[in-house]
Amino acid sequence: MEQNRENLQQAIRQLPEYQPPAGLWDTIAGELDFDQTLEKPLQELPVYTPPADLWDSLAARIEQAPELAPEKGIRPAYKWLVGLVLMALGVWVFLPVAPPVAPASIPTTPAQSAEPIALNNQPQQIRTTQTNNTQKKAVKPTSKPRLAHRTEVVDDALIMACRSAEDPNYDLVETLCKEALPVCEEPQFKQLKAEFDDLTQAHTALKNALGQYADDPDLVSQLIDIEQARDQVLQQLMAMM
Amino acid sequence: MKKILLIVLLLAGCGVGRLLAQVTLQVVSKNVEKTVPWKPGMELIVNGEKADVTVVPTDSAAISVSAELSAKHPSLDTAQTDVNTWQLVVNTVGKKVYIRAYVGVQAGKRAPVSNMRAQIKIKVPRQCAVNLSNRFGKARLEHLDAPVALNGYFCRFDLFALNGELKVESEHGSVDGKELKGPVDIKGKRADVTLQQTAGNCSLQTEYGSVHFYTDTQSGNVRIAAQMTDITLSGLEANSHNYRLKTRFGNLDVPDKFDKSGSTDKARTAIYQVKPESPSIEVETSFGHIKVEK
Amino acid sequence: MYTTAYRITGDVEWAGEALQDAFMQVFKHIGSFEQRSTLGAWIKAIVVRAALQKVDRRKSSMTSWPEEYGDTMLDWGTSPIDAMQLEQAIQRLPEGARAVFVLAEVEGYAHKEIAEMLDISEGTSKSQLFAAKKRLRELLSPQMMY
Repeated sequence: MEQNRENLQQAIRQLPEYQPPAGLWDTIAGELDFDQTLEKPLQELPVYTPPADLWDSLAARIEQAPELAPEKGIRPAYKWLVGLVLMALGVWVFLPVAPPVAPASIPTTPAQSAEPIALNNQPQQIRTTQTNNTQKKAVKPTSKPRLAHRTEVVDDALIMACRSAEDPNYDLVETLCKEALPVCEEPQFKQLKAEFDDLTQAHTALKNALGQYADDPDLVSQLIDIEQARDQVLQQLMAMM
Repeated sequence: MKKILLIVLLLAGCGVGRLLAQVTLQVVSKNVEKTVPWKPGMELIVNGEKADVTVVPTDSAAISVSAELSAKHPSLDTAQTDVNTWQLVVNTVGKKVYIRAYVGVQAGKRAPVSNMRAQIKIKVPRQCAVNLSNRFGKARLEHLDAPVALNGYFCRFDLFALNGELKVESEHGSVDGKELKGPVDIKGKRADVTLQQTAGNCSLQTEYGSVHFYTDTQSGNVRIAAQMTDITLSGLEANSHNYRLKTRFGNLDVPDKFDKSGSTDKARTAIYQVKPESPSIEVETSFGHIKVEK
Repeated sequence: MYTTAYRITGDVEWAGEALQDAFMQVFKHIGSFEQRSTLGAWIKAIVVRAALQKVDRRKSSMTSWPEEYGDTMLDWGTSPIDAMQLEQAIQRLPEGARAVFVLAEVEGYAHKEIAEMLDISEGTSKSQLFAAKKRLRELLSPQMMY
């Protein structure tokens, strides 16, 4: 049983609100990758469509409203005022809005990646979502990463090395062993074949990773090393056969 | 005059040939920077692909990542489309900070055809344990005091001044370590391993590769178990280690002071003892050569 | 959200951590939000649970309260209660009772909801609330006018 309960409730309504310590939202934002996390659910958000008869009803109302016809125009005396209002609206809409000044307790973070990547021959910046904010809301870095552009010249020896066709002999071993040659069951052959398959797997993986426009001499060199090692193993296999 | 003209034409031809032998790639890149707070006991887990990762120490209690994610292709439009498939995820779950750089292709969309590369620089507190895996790239870690665990596939590891326990598993990627103070455990497959100035005990297991180990007076025990691996040992002049070497189906190239009397037809052995209490180097390989540099 | 977490945990650091934990859960499970309540209410429930978990980790438990408390008449007096005094008194409540009081009286949760959140019975929730109020009245009594 309680008496004068309203008195307690009044005090509860006046209880103070607290602000989280400086940097907490930064911490939370740092711990979450918002874009990644929200990507799927955002795509799955339901899309609502208006009732089917809404547009018919709107059309009918427009037809019944002659005052909306454009002929009436604006009285000349007010034209300057309308112009001013429109201009002010335009300024308000298109000018970047200064961010609210962060409270002293919230640390400010410099704008992300202030300097674009040094551009080479063509100083063409493809798209720059530049944030002029010197103070950023601590919740999350909403600005898209800046894209930068440069050109690189690659020796096509690197590229061509990754496009060499497979030696048809590579399949020969498989084909012959399908015919149940006794040598294919010998332990030494099996070991070599396992090594050959291992190298083939690594070769395929590396070649796929390098793609059509490889530019890393180390990795291309490794690809060639693997091809050479595979050739040696293949020769041993063929010799045994 | 004709000769000069011929030379000029030849040079010009070479120049054109040179130009034809080059491809200009349009490189579109995006820079991403993220920072997460760090507390003692937290571990950093890095998962990269086609990435060149550098991990360096910082004095601040935070882990910061600076990444340049790029796409290279002769067509600017293609490179621009492809670069947007790069994803860099940084998040903290419990006591683990995850950094993941990957190419994410949405269902129904084409996979990137550009050459995708990531340059990732990570600053971590020295006491932060690091667990890094990377494929088709490089990783350099330096000046860390906490345990480091590495896993690479076609990833070259360059390690310098790591004072904690070090574990490396590398396939098709070289491992170069210098000034490694803690215990070292390396498993390599088709990986060339080079270690210098180690201070703790080292254990290596390798297949199809090479090992070059430089020992000195600071080095602890060294155990190398290998197959199809050529092994070179330097630092004999320090006279700091006992040697026990064995190779099956391989050559043994050691100074004359080594005792090779235990060799048989199947296995060649060499023993050299400085003092019984000295740390030892024990090597056993098959189908590989062992060489001790004089 | 932070205020709720702070009031339940009674500790600035734990409140911050609860908020972090909660938002991690929110973004992990936002796909499973079933729109049975508003998004705000859903998030708030997660914050409350995260804060309660912090309290749990501090090994607090619902202290048993004498049965006779159920018969006690509570009178909050006729004069206004100072909010800051009330706030201080709330913080002096045992953690379990404080959580129930905050959830019931400040956040407006029903005993059934509180029981689910705290994994206690509705009866325990009710008795904890009454015990909290009893204690609050005692703590506020020097300032209260009857």
